[in-house]
Amino acid sequence: MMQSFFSRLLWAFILLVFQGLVFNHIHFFGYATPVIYVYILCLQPLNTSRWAWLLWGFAVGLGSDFFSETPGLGAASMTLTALCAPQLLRLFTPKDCLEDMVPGYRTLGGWKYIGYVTLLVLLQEASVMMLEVFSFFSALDMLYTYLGSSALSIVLILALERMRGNK
Amino acid sequence: MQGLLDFLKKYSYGLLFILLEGVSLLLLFRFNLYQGSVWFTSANAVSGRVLEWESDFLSYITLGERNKELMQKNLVLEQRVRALTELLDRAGHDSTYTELRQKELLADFSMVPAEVVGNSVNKHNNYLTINKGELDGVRPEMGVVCGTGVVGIVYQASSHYAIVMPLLNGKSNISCRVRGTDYFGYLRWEGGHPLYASLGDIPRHARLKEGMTVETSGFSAVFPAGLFVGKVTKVENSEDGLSYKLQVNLSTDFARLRDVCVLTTPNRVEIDSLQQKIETEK
Repeated sequence: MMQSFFSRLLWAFILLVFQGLVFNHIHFFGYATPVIYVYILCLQPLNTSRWAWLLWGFAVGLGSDFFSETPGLGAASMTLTALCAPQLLRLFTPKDCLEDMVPGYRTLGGWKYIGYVTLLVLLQEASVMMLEVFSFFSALDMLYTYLGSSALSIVLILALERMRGNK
Repeated sequence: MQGLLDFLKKYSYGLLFILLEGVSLLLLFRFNLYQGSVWFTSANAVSGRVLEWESDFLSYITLGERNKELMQKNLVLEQRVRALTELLDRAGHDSTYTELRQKELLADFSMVPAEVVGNSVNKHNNYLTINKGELDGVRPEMGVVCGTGVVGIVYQASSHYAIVMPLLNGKSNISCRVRGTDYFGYLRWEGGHPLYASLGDIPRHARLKEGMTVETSGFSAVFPAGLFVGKVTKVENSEDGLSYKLQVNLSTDFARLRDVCVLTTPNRVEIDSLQQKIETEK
């Protein structure tokens, strides 16, 4: 369990570093910016306690704020996503699975895992956008940003999971 | 205590979420300019609305007390307005000075106080009826004054009553002058407003202006010189253009006239006997 904890901690650190140093500077067509630190929530096993979900989400979100200089934005959105993540995972989890199952292609199945990741990312992006903009001033631009960032983030997270799964 | 602990244990998840989300939002609104300004604007609007409700509620509760205070202030102000209006009225008619001056001028006259029992101001030839007559010493051609100025001349007298031709009569013709000058003319009323009459036959070389006082000239035995008649409100040319015609704001308000005094001329007896002598000789 401790090994699992430190493993996730390492992942969190790596994700935050890459997010801050690489992905925060990517703006496809001026709209899409990938957000990969959400992947830390995808690494939480099924039997993680609910308060642990929240603490992980808050900590990783706060960590991303240090890099992006938006104190509170990442923390607030990740905490909200972490609140909903256990319920979302249970939607896709088979009934006869192990308690300490870590979601992945093999454990959930391809499409279910993609669905789980998609919902997490969409929720995270939506909360970030709402807290960042606080209005619907340029709704179309917001929609492009939302869809573009979400799509890019999903693709990257699925690629990361494929890499982690092949080890 | 145990209940509290059980409650906290049961809802620890939700409370932790609220705490972490609260901290995040605090950081968000505190350290981000845009979000902070949005929060400030919204908070201002909300707190402003809440304070407005509170203020409405409090002011509604204290309505009764404020009503009493306003009523009292109203009474005080009404009294003040009344006093100021009277003061203004007196100042406009110069009545305080007029009364004193009249007393001085009429020191040699004996006066018969009377009350107006009949009056009109809306006809071309108005008359007053007073409740003193020949038995009280009233005779025709005697002058009649009131506290604020000249009223008119006794026209006819019976035993107990007399008819007075006031200034508001087309046939009235009282010799008046402009105070401070030697220019005199005849005061006539041409109908219209009961507070305005005309003083004509003022020469064109006279230097006159609005606000000057018009008084009796003393060129008749009816009124002594200096009795207040009114103030000049307009200087116009006469119809023939050869003299000035002054519009005079009369000091006597004939519509509210009640108490008057008939001036019994001290030389009246001598004048009467002279007139009788002339008629006898005719």
